[in-house]
Amino acid sequence: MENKDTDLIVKNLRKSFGKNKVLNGINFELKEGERVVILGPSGSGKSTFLRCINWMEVPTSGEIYLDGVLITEKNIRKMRRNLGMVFQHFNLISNMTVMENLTLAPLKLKLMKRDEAEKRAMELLKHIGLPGKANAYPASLSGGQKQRVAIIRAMMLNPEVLLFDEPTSALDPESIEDVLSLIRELADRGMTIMIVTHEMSFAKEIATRIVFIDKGRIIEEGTPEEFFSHPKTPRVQEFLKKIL
Amino acid sequence: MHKVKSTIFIMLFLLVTVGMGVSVWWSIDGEKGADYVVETNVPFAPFEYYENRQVVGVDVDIVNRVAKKLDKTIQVKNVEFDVIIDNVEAGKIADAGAAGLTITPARAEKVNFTIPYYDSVQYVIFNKNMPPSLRDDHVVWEALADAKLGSQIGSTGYLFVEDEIENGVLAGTSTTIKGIDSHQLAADAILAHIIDYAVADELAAKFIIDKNPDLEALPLYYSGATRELDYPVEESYAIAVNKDRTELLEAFNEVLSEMLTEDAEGKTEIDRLVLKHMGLVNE
Amino acid sequence: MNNFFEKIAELFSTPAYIESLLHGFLLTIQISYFAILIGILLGTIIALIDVAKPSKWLVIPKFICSVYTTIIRGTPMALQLFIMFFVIFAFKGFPSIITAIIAFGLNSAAYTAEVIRGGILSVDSGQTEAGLALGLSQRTIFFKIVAPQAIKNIIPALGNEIITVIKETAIVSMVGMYDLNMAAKDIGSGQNMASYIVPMFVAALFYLATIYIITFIVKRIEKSLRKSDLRAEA
Repeated sequence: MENKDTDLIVKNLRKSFGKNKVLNGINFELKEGERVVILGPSGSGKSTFLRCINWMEVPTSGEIYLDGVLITEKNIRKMRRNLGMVFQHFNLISNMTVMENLTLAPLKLKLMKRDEAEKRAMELLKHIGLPGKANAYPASLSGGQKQRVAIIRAMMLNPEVLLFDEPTSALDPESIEDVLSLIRELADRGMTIMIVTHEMSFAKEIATRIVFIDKGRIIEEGTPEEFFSHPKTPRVQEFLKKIL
Repeated sequence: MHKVKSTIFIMLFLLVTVGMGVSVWWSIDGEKGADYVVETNVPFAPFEYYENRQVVGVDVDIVNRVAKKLDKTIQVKNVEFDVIIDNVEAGKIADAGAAGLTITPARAEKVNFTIPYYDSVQYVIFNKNMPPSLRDDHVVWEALADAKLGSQIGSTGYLFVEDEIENGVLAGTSTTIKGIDSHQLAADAILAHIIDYAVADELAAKFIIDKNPDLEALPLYYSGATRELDYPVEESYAIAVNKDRTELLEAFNEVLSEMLTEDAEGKTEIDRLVLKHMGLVNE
Repeated sequence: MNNFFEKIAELFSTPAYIESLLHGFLLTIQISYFAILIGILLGTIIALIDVAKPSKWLVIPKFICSVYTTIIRGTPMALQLFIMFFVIFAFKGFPSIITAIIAFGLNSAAYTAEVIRGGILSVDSGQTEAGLALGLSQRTIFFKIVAPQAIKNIIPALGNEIITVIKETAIVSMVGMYDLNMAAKDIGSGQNMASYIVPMFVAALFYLATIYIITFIVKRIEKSLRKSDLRAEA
């Protein structure tokens, strides 16, 4: 693992909303092929941390490097192509069909030709078992279907990292497993993943590393085994006691 | 299919816009470039009324004579009666006002008046079924006491009634006066039982009762010591001219004195124009 | 009541009256059409300035826009019309139809701006985020994602505004313009029918018919825009 290239480096990341300091200096590294699950109590800043990485929230201070390149206001649009994101509420474009949702970015960013993009979109749709929904509008899909489409939409650009912001929180129990198995499959294929989730068993199963955030700081990190079985800090022990 | 539809839509939109633009351009064409602007208030037949959407009438005939005399173009513009005196006083958008304007001291402070060209009597319009108490062929102010009255807002009738209610014959009574958009609407208001009687200029009143069999109009008098000594509520029409437009005032006065000269039959040109515009020329 | 129907018959059987009504109707439509056009164009600009991210370049435009909409929405249309006619465009020979179009256009712009602003703000912020996360430009996000969704919310309210403008133009008769309302007054005046009630009633029918047609068109547009929602039910 040590010899692999570092994908992402976060240095002293801070974010405040007005007077409310949400992130208080986060230092973090992500290496290719890693699957990091971010845990923490609600309001800890874990979602904000994830959203700061692709500048959904613009950091107040600190530096983020992707493949050694500092993310700035100027290059952020290009950087985002390599930082695919999946949202809690799917955020499929409601005035576009599934196919249009999938091909929008590749076509607009002139990364693919139309037939090429549609072919790839169709392959991915077949893969998730929804080829018949290509011309449907998002409103006609179930929550689980929407989230799976959202995941393959992020995959259309072949990003280096996929960021998942509580991808199953808005789903009904039956749909959750569909979405998790798709993420699991991506993980098996070596995708670099950062995920904020409340699904503990899934976290334990999929993560190569767990990061625990509280009050805008990383308090503890380690392998799932270390984290769940031998937590070092009292804060994590308390947290685990509550949820398990 | 979608493209075709939006192309058709855009073409249609452009076509309509251009068409509307042209039609607006046409309506502008007739409006610009007059040397003087005279404001009036339609309808006040026979002095000003619409005929095929052009303002015509005695006042317009007078204005046209003045234009000819000065060899200038004068535009007659229809506006709300209330604003005429102020606009003429300001002199920015109007040089004169010809709207059967009665000479009053308050108005004379703001504008110059020409010599009077028509004497009018105020009439009371009422529902035939609910007449006020009459004195033979006229109504005296006292008969209007405690009634709900109406008149065209800002008109002389309106001002007269207001005066009488404030410190005249009707002071201390519960008489009210309602300012209404026009004499005609005041007449409609009688039939709708919004007011009891309307006060209007003689000719306007006569037009109205002519076409409304339910209505009747009689002259309004101040009561004298005896019935024989009652005297009518009279007013004199003149044209209001901006105080700086002396050349225009002089021209109006010259034209008016010509038109007020009696001919062999003892009738003036103004008299004949009044008859003509009332549609009575053949009678 | 009998009298009423007789008078209606009289009005419709007198070509001069019908001609007057049509002339008046034309002016009403001319003023409304261009006023609505100005309203939509200017209203869109105001709305875009209003919803744009604050920046130092926009401080003054934003301030101007908010003062503008506050004044226009806070004062009666009739007063605005009078001020336009007797103060701002108080030049001799300035065509009154242009003054009226500007007065109603500026008025409508303030309301249309609010309609458009509301429409844009009602689009879920997640839609913008999705575009951002995909690396799309603000421009693409606005035109491809936000605007099409906003229009769906805007159209019904805009239809309302159009109807309001058409009806409100009736007050141009106060400044002596020969619109539909003035045509009714003319026909109702002493030397014509000498009663306002019937011509006013007929003029009302003209307004009603116009507005009915516009409502119909707006409903059709709304329906075609709702395609992406309708499939949800299928």
